[in-house]
Amino acid sequence: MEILKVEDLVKEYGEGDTKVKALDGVSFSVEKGEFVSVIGPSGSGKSTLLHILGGVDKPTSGRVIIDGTDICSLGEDKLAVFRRRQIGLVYQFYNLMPVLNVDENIALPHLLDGRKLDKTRLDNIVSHLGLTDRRENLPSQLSGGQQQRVSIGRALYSRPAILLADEPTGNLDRKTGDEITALLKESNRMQKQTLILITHDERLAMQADRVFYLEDGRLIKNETVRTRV
Amino acid sequence: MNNIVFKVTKKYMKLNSRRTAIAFMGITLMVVMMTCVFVGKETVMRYIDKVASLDKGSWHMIAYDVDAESAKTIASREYTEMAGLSEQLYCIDLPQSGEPETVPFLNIKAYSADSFAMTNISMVEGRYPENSGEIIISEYAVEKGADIKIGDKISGELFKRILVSKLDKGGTEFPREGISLPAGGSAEVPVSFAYGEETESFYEKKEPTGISGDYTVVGIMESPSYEICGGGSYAALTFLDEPHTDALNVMIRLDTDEISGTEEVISDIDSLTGEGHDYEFNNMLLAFSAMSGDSNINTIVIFMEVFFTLFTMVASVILIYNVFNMSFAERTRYLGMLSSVGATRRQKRQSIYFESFALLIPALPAGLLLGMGVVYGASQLLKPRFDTMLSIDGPMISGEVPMTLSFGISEIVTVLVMCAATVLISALIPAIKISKIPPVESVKGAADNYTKKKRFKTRKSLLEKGKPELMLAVNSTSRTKHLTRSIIRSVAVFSTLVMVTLYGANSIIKAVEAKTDEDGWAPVTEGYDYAVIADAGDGGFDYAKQVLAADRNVTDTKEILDTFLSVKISYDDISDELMDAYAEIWGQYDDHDPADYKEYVKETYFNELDIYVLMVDDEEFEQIASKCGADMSLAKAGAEPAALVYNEVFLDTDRYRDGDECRGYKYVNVRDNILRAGTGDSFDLTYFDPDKGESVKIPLKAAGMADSDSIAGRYQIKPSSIYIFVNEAAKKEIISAPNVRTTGMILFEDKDENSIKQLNETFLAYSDDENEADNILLVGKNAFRTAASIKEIISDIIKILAYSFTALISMVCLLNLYNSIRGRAAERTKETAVLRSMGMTDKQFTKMHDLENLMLLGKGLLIAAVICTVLCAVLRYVVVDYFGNVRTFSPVLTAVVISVITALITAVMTRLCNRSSKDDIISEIRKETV
Repeated sequence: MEILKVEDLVKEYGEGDTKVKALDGVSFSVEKGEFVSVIGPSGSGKSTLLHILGGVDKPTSGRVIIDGTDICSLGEDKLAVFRRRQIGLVYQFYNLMPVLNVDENIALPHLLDGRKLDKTRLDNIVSHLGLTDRRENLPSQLSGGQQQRVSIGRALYSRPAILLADEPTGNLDRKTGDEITALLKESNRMQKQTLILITHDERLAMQADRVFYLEDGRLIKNETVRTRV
Repeated sequence: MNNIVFKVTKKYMKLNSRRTAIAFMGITLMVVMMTCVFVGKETVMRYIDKVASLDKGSWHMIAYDVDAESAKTIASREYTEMAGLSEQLYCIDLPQSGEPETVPFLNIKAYSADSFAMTNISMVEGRYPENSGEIIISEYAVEKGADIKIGDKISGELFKRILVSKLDKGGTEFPREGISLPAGGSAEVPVSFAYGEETESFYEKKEPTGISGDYTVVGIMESPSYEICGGGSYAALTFLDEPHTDALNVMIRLDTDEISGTEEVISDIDSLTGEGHDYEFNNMLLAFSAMSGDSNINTIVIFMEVFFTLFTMVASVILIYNVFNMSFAERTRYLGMLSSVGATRRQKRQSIYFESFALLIPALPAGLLLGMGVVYGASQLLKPRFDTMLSIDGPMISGEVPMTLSFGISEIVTVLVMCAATVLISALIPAIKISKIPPVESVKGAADNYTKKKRFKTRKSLLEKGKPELMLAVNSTSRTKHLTRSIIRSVAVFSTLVMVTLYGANSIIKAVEAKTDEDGWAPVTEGYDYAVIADAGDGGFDYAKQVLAADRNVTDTKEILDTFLSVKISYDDISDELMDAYAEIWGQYDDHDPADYKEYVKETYFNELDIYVLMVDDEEFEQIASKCGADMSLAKAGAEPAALVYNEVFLDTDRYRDGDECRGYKYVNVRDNILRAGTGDSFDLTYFDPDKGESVKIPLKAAGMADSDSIAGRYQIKPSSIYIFVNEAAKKEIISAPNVRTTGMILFEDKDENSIKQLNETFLAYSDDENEADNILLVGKNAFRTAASIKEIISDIIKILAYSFTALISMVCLLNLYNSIRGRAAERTKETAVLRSMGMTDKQFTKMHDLENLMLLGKGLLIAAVICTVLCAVLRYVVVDYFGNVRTFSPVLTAVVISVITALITAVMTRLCNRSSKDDIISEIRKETV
């Protein structure tokens, strides 16, 4: 089942002589439960693509259809609601709310959607992420790896249609990075969570089902690494 | 700039240009306000000083009959700003006099140069004398026909005028002017004594002083203020080279920075030369130069100066402190970086001081210039008010005195020192705080969360009930104290300063009003054009009534009778509160003990107190009674003698004088409980019946208590005594009582000018025909308005000054609030972006901000309420201590209004500061740190 469809996506910045095409006619689709990594050199348009997929940026042209909804046609408020229900975002620099503790950060998008807290799910996630004894700590009191785990927990809590991860291990040491990768893969495999991971680490990218190669804003290669069972 | 810490600080200042600009504006505003306080005060006081000097001169006091040696010592004293000598040279014959029979002499005084400088001797022509051979003569002599002009010579022996008794025996004669002339003796004649008066008991002679005068007239001066018409001489002045006698007069201008009153000077001069000197004081100038203990203006000026300076400092300290505090996290990072490469704690502190003074240095000239501009503009706007105020009760024409910007080095230095001190105080705590952060915390950027608290409990109720906006609001207001504190502080400071400034200003205004208020009563003249006033007991009043009744042009008449002094009330009938108030005021005089007051009034006033009785017709009595909720069965037309007691009396030491020495001004306002008698109770008025030789009672029933609302539109009462309104039944008894004098007033409307002229002539003719006491006075309605004008002008000036200052303070506070809100918003841009990326809608943002504001406002206003209560209580204490128990406004409504305004301003500012574009999300979420 196709969960994401990207059609002829173009994103331009600037005007006239300074015009830059960050994305140039990118098209692809992703199946539900698939793990896709996007790889490419700096400036290739990876992050721009992720931001457009995450609904925090709009393309100059083209369409992004997630679970049957063209997010490019949504208004601000509808898009915000769509983001908190259907998209989980994991950033390189965690982007946690500094004033909320671990529990509160994880539950935040769920609460923003006006839903009651699912305490069992929260306990499970916190326990699964190994953060049980840090539940009442603020982000500034956590290590980088712990912060990224909170970030993953927050992204997963609402059971989004797609989990978007932007260089999630880029700010971590290798060991911690591997732990985070394992967590993401586990959520993909165990919970059939669609995962799109942006990285410039080829070793990490090759752990995905498929790898998209981006260069100068164009999708130059769409390679299947392994066939999903 | 070699100092790397300063270089880095400067770069960060440039980088954060908006914050730097706000800090600069705040510091500049502080300098503006300090300039307004000190230069403004100096400008106003100098102007008033100049105007006050127009009357007698710029000297504060004159000590008479001082020897030359002591005069030199006085001149060298620290309290002396300028000392001029003068000497009375007495009289010389003036053969050119136009009135040789009555004014044949010149009375010559010799003035030193400083004396000329300090007196208002205005030349009509010519110049001041420059040596002892030159003289100037009063214009009055010329006007009276003296054949004298510049260049003429006046020569002769100088002499004293002496009265000699012709009697060989008998008692002492007192020919006038306080002269005591013993039989066979002689006495010196004062200048005012008329010449040529010889009686059977005395004659006048000349007694040579041994000084010869040979003068050339070099000028004609305007008649000096000391010249007395009707005496035997015209005024003349020569120059004092060398004193002829050892009886000099020392004219002193005091250094107001060195001394606070004339008592010390008198005591010093008495100790130098022995007691018994005469002194003359320039009271108006002393009052305006902060040298008179009994001056309202001094106290108010000093009070306002201290009040405004303190508030400027507090507002500025909070603003600057907040600016530094807002940038604390960022600053710790770059200072941490510097400290990791070897910057010491001292260098870190220096960074803060550098930034403070880098902002202060350009702010000083800018603020000084701007402040002077504000003072100049305000002074020109206020000058007409000052002119009216200062020329209202005297011969001064202040319009001739320009109101120029006045300041000296001391004012500028004071502004500089106060501003530098304020900035230093503001920077002190952030500097100490920042230098204490360990380098490792700074480098990690964790200084903003540098807290020992390790656990932050999950607010389960919020989490489980799914209230994300509230959860975010609660946590962000309680867990980022460095950001929220500045807003709470700004809210608290804004509301406190505005509230306390308004309260202080209002207290000062009320104090001025209390001091300058004219007591008494007046009818509201709206709807009437004229009033006829006549003594009601002497036929004049009845005659006036008949005339007005017969005049077809006269319409809408209203009759009121009043009596005071001849009708009394027993002290036993007044309330304890009022009795205590009288005792308190009486206790201010001499060594009176308020506890003795009851005995005192029994012995001195036969236990009777004067009462003001306003006699109105039954219809009006009934209307007032119904408005004040009186017992209408007692107040209805045709009822037995009844009274409505006015529910307020204010007493102060200015109006109630009962002793020689007053220990200080006191004001007491009594409300509601004026008499012991409540509604329905009886009390008596008394009057002295000369036929019976005893006091006679007029019993009255108290129908109720009138107040300013119930008499609004009919009367205005400023009650420094007890006032009662009585009905027609009571009026009949009062006006028929022997020995009770009542005054009647008829207000009426008459649009025909000829009719008014005719009425005026009729009443004048009656007054001329009748005896002196039985006059009929016709006045226009404006005659009742003048009493309030001085009060209004003084109040207006103080209101303008106080409210302008409140506006300036508010600007600093608003800047502070804006800076705090903006600073917090700026530090939360990444949070905002993250929340947006997670799907938080605008509505949810607005809700979160509103909740945050509510919490911050709640905390800020709570703190403000506590501080305001304390400060207002202190202010109240100071005001009562200085001005007496004046009634200030109830602060509750103002506090509510200020709270609402603060809430609105905070909400608007929060919305403005938290507006972010969609583009911000991407750039913010890619930032390295949260």
